[in-house]
Amino acid sequence: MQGYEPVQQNNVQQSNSNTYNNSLSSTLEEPVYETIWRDVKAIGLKVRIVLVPFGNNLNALRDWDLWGPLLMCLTLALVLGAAKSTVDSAAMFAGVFVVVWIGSSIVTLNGQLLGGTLSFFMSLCVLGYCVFPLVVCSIIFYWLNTWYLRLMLVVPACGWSCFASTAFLSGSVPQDRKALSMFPIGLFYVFISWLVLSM
Amino acid sequence: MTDIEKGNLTTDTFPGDEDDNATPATSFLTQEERYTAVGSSGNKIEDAREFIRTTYNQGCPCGHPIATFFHLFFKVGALFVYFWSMFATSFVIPFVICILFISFDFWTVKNITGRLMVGLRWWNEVQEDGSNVWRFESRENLDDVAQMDSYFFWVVLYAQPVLWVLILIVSILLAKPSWFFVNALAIVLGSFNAWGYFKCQKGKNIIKANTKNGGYNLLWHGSWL
Repeated sequence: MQGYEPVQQNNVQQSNSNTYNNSLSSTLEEPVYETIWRDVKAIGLKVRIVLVPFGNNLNALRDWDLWGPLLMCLTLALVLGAAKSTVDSAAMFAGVFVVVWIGSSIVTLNGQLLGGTLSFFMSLCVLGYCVFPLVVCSIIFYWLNTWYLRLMLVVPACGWSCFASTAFLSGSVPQDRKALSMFPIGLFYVFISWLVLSM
Repeated sequence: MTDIEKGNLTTDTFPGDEDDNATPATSFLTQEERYTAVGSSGNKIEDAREFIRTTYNQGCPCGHPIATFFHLFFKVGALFVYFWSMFATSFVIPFVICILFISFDFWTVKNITGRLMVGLRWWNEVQEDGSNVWRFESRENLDDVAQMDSYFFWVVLYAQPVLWVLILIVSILLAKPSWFFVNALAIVLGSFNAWGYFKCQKGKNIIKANTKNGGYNLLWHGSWL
């Protein structure tokens, strides 16, 4: 299992088939912890990209993975559910979980039907990762209860999420349909921010 | 005096040939298979030792016992938590654990146990222009895949979605709608893995890869949606 240089499996943008096949064969024999660590680093990288959505980071979300959306969704649902009384917490958890997943799917479907060129999973990935500022807000709000401080935090967070997701997704829809495809994304994040604000 | 004791190691008989009792290590092989295994050295004793060493590992007649364990662990864990939640009152914790187990199981089978146990691999690639390509690969030399490993891998891989479909039918009858999502997720992810590995086996359009360090064949290159 030793003796192979671990190469980023997703770094296959080269058109040269020799280097392509070399990079593939090295990852087929790699030790297990390399595989795990590579995926963990990829998730961390994407979260950092969402935090600073400028410049040539836009291409890095091309290697989609659904771990980010799953973790964001679970964290958000758990925190929002834990903030409610025990009677409501399960319902809140289920509600948030469903809203995030079905909301993302519907927004993605909308983008696809309007002629977007992005793949379904890539849009899901972007939307899931861009919930991250709101997840951070919700964790802060677990202890912060004053409404005006919450408002001061949630509005920039919502704006940040919307800005990040439109930065990644707007390039793929035709010019005349941009507003039509970006509006549901804005609605999605405003809805989640409202849930976070009122937790 | 046997041939070995006489110092004659080049005969076609093996120590223990006279004694027909198979050792525990090789009891699952026929006598033919046990003694006709040929490896790289050409010397039958060395090759037999090599064969036994690669297929008998830590008391289990399979090549990768740890991978086999994990192949099963998350699936059984998800089933266990699912059935336990039927009788427990809490909803959130079992739900989260179930979802995580199913996701970990998908990732483990796709990234680890597939390539370790049967030498196959599949994934999705997004090209420069945004289109999708699905890649299915197999190791070039599949001779050293242990038979127990292969059998176990495929049976468990195909049994998982089938089992969860049966559970879905049962839970529809028992009317527990909050768990449909978990059920659907298990079925979807299980079928996805089964489809991917099934495609790896098809073996169409084999393109010879660079065979340095044991190269891997690109088995199928197609586009999806």
